Amino acid sequence: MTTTGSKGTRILGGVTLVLLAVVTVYGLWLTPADVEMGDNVRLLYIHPPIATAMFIPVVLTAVGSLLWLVKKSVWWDLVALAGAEIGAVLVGLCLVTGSLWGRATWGTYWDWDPLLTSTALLFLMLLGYLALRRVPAEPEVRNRRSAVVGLAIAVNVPIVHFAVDWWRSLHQTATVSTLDPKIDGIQLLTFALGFLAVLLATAWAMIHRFRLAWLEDQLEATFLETAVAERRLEAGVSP
Amino acid sequence: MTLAAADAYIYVGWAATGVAVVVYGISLVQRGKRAAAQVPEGKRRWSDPS
Repeated sequence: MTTTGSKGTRILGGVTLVLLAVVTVYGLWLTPADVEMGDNVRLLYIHPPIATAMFIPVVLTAVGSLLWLVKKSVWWDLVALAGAEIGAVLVGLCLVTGSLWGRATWGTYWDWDPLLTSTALLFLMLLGYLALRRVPAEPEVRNRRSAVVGLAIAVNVPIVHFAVDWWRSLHQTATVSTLDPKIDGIQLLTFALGFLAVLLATAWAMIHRFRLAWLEDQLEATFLETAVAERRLEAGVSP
Repeated sequence: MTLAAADAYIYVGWAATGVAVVVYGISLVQRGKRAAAQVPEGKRRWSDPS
């Protein structure tokens, strides 16, 4: 085993790539323009799936942080780390695709409305979490600090998710999460395939990032063991 | 706004997403390969240590 891949992740990755290609062809060329939004609707085949999938790794960061505090299990700390990095990528993409959609439809890239502001805050919190993990400290101290921040991030999740319902916003409310979706036919199919593709991509990335975090943790432990052994030798203490 | 200008936002959005997915995916695999090459054979298996 010289990679973080396995037979399962290679199959998952292959299916994800095929699905992403299908969604791209449908989203950009095969689906018709929307009656109201025109061609701008094509951005909605990627933006809402990303905006929904981003909650999964962020919630996993919170769950991992909580379980590290409870069980002191390195495994859960690494789940939290993987979730934060994947979450930062997805939230960043959500902000980029959302601002482009906003510019095309509202005429502005940005507005300080509750949804956009809380999403930007979520992005900054995730970057803060990742930066905090890079601050030199004992593993136990670093994990505890990270877990506290990981739990603090969780507070923002419901605010982002329900912002369009709780406050007046430029942003529209849910389009397909109701029993009577406002789109149908090939548009709904493309939308559904977009969701599936982004969910599978998120799962693939989470598995790889977790395994990478595991290997990095082993490297750190090996480095610490070697450093301690060298110091003991220098001090004339037998190992 | 002209249709061409609107199209540009669509393509930039899709392109940004595609590039980010591909670049991040490749970087994950490469970082994994580098880390795996440095970790001793017996410590490469990930499992819940608790």
